[in-house]
Amino acid sequence: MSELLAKSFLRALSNASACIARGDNEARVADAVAALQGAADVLVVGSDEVVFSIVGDAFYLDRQMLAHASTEYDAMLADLAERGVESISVSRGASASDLAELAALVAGALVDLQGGGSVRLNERTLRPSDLEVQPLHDLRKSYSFSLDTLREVTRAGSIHLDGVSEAVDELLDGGAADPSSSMLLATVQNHDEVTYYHSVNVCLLSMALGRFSGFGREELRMLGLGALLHDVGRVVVDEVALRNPGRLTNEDWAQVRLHPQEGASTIMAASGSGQEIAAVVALEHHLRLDGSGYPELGGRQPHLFSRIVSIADSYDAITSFRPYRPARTPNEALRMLLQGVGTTYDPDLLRLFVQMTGEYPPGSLLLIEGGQVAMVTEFAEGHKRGLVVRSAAGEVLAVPEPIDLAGVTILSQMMADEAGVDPGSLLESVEHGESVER
Amino acid sequence: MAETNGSADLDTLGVDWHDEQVQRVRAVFDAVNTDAADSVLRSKILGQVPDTGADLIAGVRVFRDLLRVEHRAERFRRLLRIWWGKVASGVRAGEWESAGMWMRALTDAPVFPEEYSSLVAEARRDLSWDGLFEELVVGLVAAENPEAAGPLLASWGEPLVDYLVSQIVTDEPIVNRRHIVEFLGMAGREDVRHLTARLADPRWFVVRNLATAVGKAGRVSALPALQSVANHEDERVRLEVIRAIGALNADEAIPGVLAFLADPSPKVRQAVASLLRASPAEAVVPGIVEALQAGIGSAEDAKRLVSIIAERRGPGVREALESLADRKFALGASKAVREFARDALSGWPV
Repeated sequence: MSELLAKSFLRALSNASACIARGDNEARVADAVAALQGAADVLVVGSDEVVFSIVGDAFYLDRQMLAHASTEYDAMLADLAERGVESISVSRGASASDLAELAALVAGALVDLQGGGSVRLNERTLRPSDLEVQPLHDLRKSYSFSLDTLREVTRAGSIHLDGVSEAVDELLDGGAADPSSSMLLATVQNHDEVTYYHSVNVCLLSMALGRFSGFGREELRMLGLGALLHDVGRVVVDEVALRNPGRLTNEDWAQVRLHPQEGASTIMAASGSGQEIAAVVALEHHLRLDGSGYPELGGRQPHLFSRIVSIADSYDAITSFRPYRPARTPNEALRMLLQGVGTTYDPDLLRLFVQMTGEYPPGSLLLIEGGQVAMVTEFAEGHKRGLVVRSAAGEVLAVPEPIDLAGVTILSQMMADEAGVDPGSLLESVEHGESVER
Repeated sequence: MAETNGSADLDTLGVDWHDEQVQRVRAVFDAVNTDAADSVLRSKILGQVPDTGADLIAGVRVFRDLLRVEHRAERFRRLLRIWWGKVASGVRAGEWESAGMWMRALTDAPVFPEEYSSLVAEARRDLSWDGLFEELVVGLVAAENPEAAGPLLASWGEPLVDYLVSQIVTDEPIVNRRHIVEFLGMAGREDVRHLTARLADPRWFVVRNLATAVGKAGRVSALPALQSVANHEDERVRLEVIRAIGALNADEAIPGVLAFLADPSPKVRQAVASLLRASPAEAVVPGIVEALQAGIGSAEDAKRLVSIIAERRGPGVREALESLADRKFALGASKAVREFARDALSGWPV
């Protein structure tokens, strides 16, 4: 549970610092700081203090690596590391004012915290030997690189396609085309940078489906390029509209519907010979198989790559939290996709996607007979394996235990919050387990 | 990645759906007729992976989609700037096919909203500047396959023709004029009026080069325009006009060309003879007979024309030679014609 609590704290910290950075009014900042204080209280329960450390590419909570949280709060991590922050100690009962200072520091409004408070910097610096250091999966590192590439697009206001291609190459080198790793890592979500994280997830899922369909490296590169940039037109859409918890107004909706053509134009302006395919995907990713959808392109069927990205796009969107609706389980997402087979989605591709993922895609959390919780690592074509991540007594296991899920009765599916487990953080464990098995 | 062959039922494909869901999903897949085994499915998908080069076609198609759906003037201008960049970079890189496809994305069967026609015209003018034209012609001269630039040059049209004509006129053209004429011909392939409209130029050398280019453009619709300058006072122009008419390879050109058998210039008459020799038109033989009857100036001309008839083996040729062998004409090399015709008949198969 502690990793999820740590993630909640980091999310609240990120939100509060964003409020300060935007110059939100006092009431809004106070609300955000109160939420941060609530997250800190829950996190520190049962101890005198907790210590977040920054070592290498990852956050650690006390001695435990927060792999997935490090990916989700990758920008904050990099920023703090660059500013020389090696640890953040948070005492039980941390005050709102100290936490507000911490948020201001993260926002760049302060360079240091006052000493002796309930939140302190660099008080306890841990050495790598003190920590449960495990190498980050190469795919996780390339995920961060891809995020940086997309952030650069916003900063520069234009795309440098060779840089984006390099990010796609890194993802491929990191194992992006492996379905299990990709689906586990694609559970990353970030509430502040929804579009970036969604884009990388869609890229991972698309390339996994491409590889499963038999694509070669060059086709995967082109597919990955289009997938990574499919939503690049969103940078011109009003962010407030995207974060609005209520229904979009007609005006907002009209704006949102322009993002495919905005994206396609932006890519087209930057693309060199052979790279135009990314613009095709950006323009067509909301086009349905039957030619409906938007923009209206005369009813023609979308390009193969657009049809692949459309499936990955919907899958990731359904399994992700949005301000206006909760996230769904991977299995529920598959069911929803299947309702659109033949009209919205290409039946052949969707069928391969289902074959690739199995009934319960990697990362699914299942309550199984006996009351344990297992995370699926593979559930396709006779290979039904997972890791027991929570005991029948409700205790999250520090070291997940492999389990053969064939023949095991599944009682229900669970969301990560409900299970108290962050499936994406287990990517390294799965990899480690597989290498031991080999 | 495990392979599964055989039945396409979802429950045998490793998808262990609960009963109700299996039925529903199977019904959906059955309805869309995708009951293939997965190796077949993969082959089907791989068959849709675009080849190299198809990316460009897809990109151009999307660009045209954008032109069609964009109704904001500012954004439309941005698209035109993108188009400008695509064509210019294709020219600079010597990627003639790519440059041509991008050029035609805007010029072929326009898809953009009518109200933006003036913006499009402006963009085409902006693209047509001497610096880029210089890079184009220099690049084409060095290119292994300049023919690949045909669609680009043909769709560029009038501004390019203007530039090329200016290169004919200037004392120091950027490349040899022979190349300029070649490119002019390519520029006129789609709409030869860009060339023929300039045949009225007062400078004989401009008309001569344009006539050659018109011939290279190969559009029969240019015939009346060429005929209109066939009587040019300068024999060099007349010579090129005849050659250009010959290059059009049009039967309907023959009657007009026959009149030039009486041209005062031997070079022109020789060019006409060459054209007639190469032409398969039925009008050639009676036309030559008629011209000989009307009177041909020299014995050499007469010999050349009779040999053109004799080289043919079609119906009516023997009769034509016999008529020439027997008749006396009031004008021209009457005796020479008769002798050449008899010689030809003596070798004629019985």
